[in-house]
This record gives sequence, C-alpha cells and structure tokens, in this order.
Amino acid sequence: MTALAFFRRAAPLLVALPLMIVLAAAPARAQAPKDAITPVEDFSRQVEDLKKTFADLGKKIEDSARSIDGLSDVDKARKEIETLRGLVGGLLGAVADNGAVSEIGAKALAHARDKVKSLERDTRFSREERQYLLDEWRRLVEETERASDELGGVRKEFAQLLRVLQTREDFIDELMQIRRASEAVNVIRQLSKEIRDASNTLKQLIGAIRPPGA
Amino acid sequence: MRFVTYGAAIVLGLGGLAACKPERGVGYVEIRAFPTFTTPLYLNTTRVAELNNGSALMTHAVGRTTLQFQRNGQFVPICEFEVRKNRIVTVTVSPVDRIARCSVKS
Repeated sequence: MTALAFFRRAAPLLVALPLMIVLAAAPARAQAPKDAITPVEDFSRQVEDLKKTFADLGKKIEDSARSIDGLSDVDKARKEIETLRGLVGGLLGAVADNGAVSEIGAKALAHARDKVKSLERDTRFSREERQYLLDEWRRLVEETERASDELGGVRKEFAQLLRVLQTREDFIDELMQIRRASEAVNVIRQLSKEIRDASNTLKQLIGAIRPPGA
Repeated sequence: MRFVTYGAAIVLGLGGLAACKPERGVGYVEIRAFPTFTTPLYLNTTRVAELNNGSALMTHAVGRTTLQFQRNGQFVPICEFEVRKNRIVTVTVSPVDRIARCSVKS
C-alpha cells in the first residue's frame, strides 16, 4: 500500500478521532460548573445533618437533666452523667477541628476562595457576567465562613458542657470517697440546672446555624 | 453446602474476634496559645489544626499524649498529658523565658 492510499483510507478516521475526543470531553465540560459547587453543597448537607443530630441531642440532654434531677442514687447519677458525656463527646468529635464536618468546611471555603481568585483573572466573560459570577461566589464564601463560625460557637458550648460534666462527676467521686452522699446528691441536683442552661444556649445556637447556599 | 457452612463459621469467628478487640475510644484536647504563637504543633505525630482565635480543639485517641513542635525535622516535646475517653483536656501554651511551656487542665 502506498502512503497516498493509506492516507485516503485513514482520512475518515483522522477526521473522526478529534471529533470523538471533543464529543467525549463535552459532557465533562458541561458538568464543570456543577462540580465546582459540590464542595460547598457537601458542607451544606453536612451542616443540615448535624443540625438534626443536635436537635435529637437537645432532647436527650433535657431528658437526662430531668432524670438526674430526680435521682438520689449516686451510682445511677454517675452512670447518667457518663452516658451524657458520651453523647456530648460524640458531637464534639464531629465539630472538632480535625472532625469530619470542620474538614469538609475548610475544603469548601478554600475551594470557594480559589474560585473567586480564578474568576477575578478570567477574561472569557463580559464585565457584567464576570461581576455576577463573582458576586455569587463571594456570597458563598461569606455564607460558608459564617456557617463555620457558627459551628465554632457550638464547638465551644459542647466543650464547656463536657467540662462541666466531667468536673462535677469527679467532684461527686471525691465526695463519695469521703462518704458524703447527701452532698453528692446536692451536686447532682445543681448539675441538672447547669445542663438545662447549656441545653438552652445550644438550642439558640442551633437555631441560628444557616448552611451555606440554603 | 459444607463450603458455605465453613465460610459462615469463619465470618462469624472473625466477627467475634473483632468484637473482642478492646475499644479504646477517643477524648478531646483543647489547645490554647498566646496570640503570636504560629509554630505548627503536633499531638504525638498528628498535626494540630491551625489555631483560630488562639485555640484549637482536636479529637485524639485515649492514652499518654505529647504536645510537640518540629525543629530541624525533629520533634521537640513541650509537655505530656493523659487523654481520657469522652473527656476534654485543656493545654495552654505560654512563653517562659522565650521557651514554650504548657499548663494542663483536665
């Protein structure tokens, strides 16, 4: 086969190949804007899920406070406090700086900030179009920052509640070591008030949390 | 049939072994530092998140833990403390004679 004959036969393939590549790439390109928002959407979903879990915990905290209030059996109270510590600890883990939600939040924020930077340099769009896109991404940056700050507030409250629970528990232990059961019961009763206060603060904070893009 | 029975027995056995494995759990470490402190910190070898308003809160496996920083690729310990299950320990880093020292409150 001569070179000319080879090119004649291969010509349709040589034309079709770049076309196929372009067509194959087209859906990916069409999805690009959707992919760009994904980290922020993921964070938003996580925050929504957390809010539901917080609300469930709020109910458990109240039940626990009520139960502790009526207890005079120190061992039972200690068990109740321990269970509550487990519940609060679990949620503190979710909002800790190395917890899943905080890490997704940090990624979402970094991504949205990068998007703003890249759009500022983008010359593909008209001034108005670019400004519109920039405004939308800046809004998402602000909303993501605000949601992260609100979660920071919840983190502080959970940490504080956990601290109260463990110091009261330790104090009850110490009182029992010197056989002061009635004083231990008083501490248990005071604790239920502190738990209720924390629960109210948490309710307000949880109500204030607004996921980005919602 | 025999193969299925043996398979099920192995799966159940492994499941049982996994259930027997002691669950050590996690606790929480709150790290506070003076505002100008920017050196990256480590809990054992886990890097501590960037301090926000001078503090960070980390989930950490229970047990003896060392707070340290890195100098010339080597870890330099600042202090040691115990992380206990579902409990929070606060570690405050402050400068004493230009050396980072810490106080532990659990």
